[in-house]
Amino acid sequence: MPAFTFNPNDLHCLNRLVFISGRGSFDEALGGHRSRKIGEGTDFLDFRPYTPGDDFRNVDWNVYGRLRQLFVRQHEAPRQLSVTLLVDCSRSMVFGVPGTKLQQAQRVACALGFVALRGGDRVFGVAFARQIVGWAGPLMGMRGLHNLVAMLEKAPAGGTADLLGTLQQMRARRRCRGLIIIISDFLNVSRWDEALHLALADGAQVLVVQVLDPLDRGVGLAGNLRLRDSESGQQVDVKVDPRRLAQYQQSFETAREALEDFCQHRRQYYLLADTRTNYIELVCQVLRAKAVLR
Amino acid sequence: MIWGFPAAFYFAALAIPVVAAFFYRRFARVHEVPALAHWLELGRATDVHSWSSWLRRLLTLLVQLLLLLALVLALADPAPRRQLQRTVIILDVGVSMQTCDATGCARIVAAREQALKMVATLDPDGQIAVLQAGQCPVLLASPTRDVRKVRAAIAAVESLDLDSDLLTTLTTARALVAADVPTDVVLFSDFAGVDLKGLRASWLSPAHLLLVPVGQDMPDAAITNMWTESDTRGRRVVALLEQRGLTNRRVSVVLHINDDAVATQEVVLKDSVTRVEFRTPLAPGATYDVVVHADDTLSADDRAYGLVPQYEQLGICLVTDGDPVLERALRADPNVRLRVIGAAELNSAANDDVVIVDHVAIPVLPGAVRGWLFLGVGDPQGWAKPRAAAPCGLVTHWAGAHPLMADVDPTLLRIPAALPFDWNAAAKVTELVSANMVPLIVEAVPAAPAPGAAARYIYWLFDLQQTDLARRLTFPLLLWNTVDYLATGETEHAEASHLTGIPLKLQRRQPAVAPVVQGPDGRRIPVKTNADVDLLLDTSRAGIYRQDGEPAYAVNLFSRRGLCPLPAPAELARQSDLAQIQPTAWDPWLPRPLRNALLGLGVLVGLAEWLLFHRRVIRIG
Repeated sequence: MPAFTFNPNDLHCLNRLVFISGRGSFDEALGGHRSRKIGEGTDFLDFRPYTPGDDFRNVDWNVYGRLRQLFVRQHEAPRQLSVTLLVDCSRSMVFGVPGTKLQQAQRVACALGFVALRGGDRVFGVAFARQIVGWAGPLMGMRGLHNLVAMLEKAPAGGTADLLGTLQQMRARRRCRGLIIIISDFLNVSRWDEALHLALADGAQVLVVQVLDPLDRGVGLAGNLRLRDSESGQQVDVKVDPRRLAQYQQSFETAREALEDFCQHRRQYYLLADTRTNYIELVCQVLRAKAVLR
Repeated sequence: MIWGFPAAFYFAALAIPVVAAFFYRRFARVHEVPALAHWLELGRATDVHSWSSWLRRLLTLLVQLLLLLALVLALADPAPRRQLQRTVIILDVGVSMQTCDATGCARIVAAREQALKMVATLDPDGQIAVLQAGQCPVLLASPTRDVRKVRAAIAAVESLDLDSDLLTTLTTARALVAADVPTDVVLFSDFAGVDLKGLRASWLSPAHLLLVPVGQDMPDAAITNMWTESDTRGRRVVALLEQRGLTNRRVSVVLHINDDAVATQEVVLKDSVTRVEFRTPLAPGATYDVVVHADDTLSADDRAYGLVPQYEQLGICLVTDGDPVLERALRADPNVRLRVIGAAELNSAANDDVVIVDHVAIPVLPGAVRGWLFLGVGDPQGWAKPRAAAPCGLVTHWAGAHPLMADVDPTLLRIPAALPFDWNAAAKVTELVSANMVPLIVEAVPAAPAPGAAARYIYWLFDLQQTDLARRLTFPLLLWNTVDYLATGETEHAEASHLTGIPLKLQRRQPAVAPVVQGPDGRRIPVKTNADVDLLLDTSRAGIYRQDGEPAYAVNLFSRRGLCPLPAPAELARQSDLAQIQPTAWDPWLPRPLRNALLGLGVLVGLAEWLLFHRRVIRIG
């Protein structure tokens, strides 16, 4: 398996990016993201009538001078965003030219992790295949990036991808909240729709990053071939001619669009990450355009 | 099973790259893709672990290996294993094989061509032997697989001036027939004068005898005998001519003396023997030959050679009381100087070569006489004393090789009573003819021969008057054989006539020096020396043989073979089919067209498979 390489120098352009907190649920911990909860923040939110027991330091005396009634100032409570990075390490992710999809996924995960950690968010790194094969977190601060990279490097690649099972395990750990970034090719991911429903059920925001390679679209296949599934070992005899290749690509594109439509209909984020695309460009431009980052 | 091209099996090693290429191609064709879900919608899923799938995968490999096997087998040229075959080729080299038939070539040439053509069709693994059927069989090539040697032996065969003995040759060929090897014996001959039924009946061998005739029946004239004889005016040359198919043909007969034509006669060939006589001066020792110009197709028997003998007048003294029959027989030769005397007239002063004592007792033996013939009487030196006559039966024993018995059939002698002799120990007696242990003709030599005494003594131990010998043809033969033997030691006939093919006993002119003999063509002929006897074995050509540079022997063909009719073609048709030889030719197991088609099919299938499958395989990833 190609070694995962990650150049920290490439992250300089990510320094000023932070996640936009959307509809996702926040942690109770104090953070840098605005929330609708009233708390000890500095941003004014609203007034409310004074009730016994309120802190007199929050009484707005100017309003009392005008209205002769006691009103208490309410402020936003900034919360911490929990970013969970789910990286698919199944065998189908080790394909790709020149770099594998797994390498691209790891780079994207690191970039997003860097943005999250630098934005003061709490990051969980999860590598999964049939089950969770790597776990890092909660990670805080830039020192957590090292742990994230180390976890991704050590995570073994192989087997099938069970996204639903992985999310069920995370839900059991109460980690299905905040921003869940699923980085996978979604090729052999069965019941991915159920998995996404499960992630959305607890109010999490989901960012689906589908990593694909031209080989996934059948580029380079021709002739009478016996194709073997990388994960299940199942084989099929196929005579690959232009007509049949077009049929395959149409079927593939339909499946990909189904995933994208699923996300759009549920106001979730979808990102198509090609292996030939620079991951910095993906994170900077594409995610900013999709209002995931600012 | 035998293989015509066993090296083709080296091509079977191609199976290794074929198998390697198959597995390489199999693995190269299997492409691992990240996911198969969408392909499953387009193709048929395969259970790669099922037996059917495994066999289906192997089927292509098996087809390729079978194609390769078929190609190798086709190239190897298989043929069913056969038992080794041996062929004995017999070529008749008799004089009649020199006959030039209507085709313009001699029969021996046609026989050689047929033999060479047959050799080309024989099994190259078989053994071939070549026999030359002449006066005696000669093994030219012992059983061998070396076809070049066989061809060279056949090509070197030439017809000789002699009669061939096919029976003896077939007897020799039987020795070449191996018990465990099927053998074909093929005899190429014109079969002139051959009793085919007898020839085939004599073939007592399991081997297959094939008689291949060559030549056509052609007329011929030949000199069947020739000699010189004395007559009242000197000597004359007599030649006997015979013919077949040339009756009443007028031919010219030419006499050459020392290679110069001296006389020519025009004769009409009779139905039987035609006698031609030339009366011309003949110097002793001169060579002469008689040629018949008959325009026939066999010229070898149209010429006869002779040497005028060193004849001299023979002096014979007949001591008798009177025997007209004996006297008339002795006077038959004009060259003989006969002196008939009584016993009292015998003295030592007479110049006689041979003395014949006819039933009279003589007192002394005069010297300077070469030989003595005592007819029913003892000798004065006391070696033999006759007793009373005793009956005897038929002749039972005789010395056939003795010059006395040349051309004599002893069984024709009817001797009712013999005269037993008592022999002195001073004489050593050799019986020449006897009847039931009773000697009839003996030769006596002194037990201790005195130096210089070389006289010969012959005794006829019966009373000539009591037999009918004088009325028989045997009598002059026996008498003159005896006289010639006593005078010269040899018979005149033996000196005058030599036939081709018979070894020639040479007479040394210088005792310590081996003779040097040149044949008629001037070629030096090796002489085989055995003890004191020098033999000339190669007398296969008619002509004058020169010993130490001088004409010494005239060797003649005198064959009637050219005059013999050839067997009827229908008689030999069944026996002359060369196709009966098995196997006649190398019989490949696969017919050549089928083998070529198989080769072409294999190449096409291989090419098609390469075009259809190999070029479409693309490695990716």
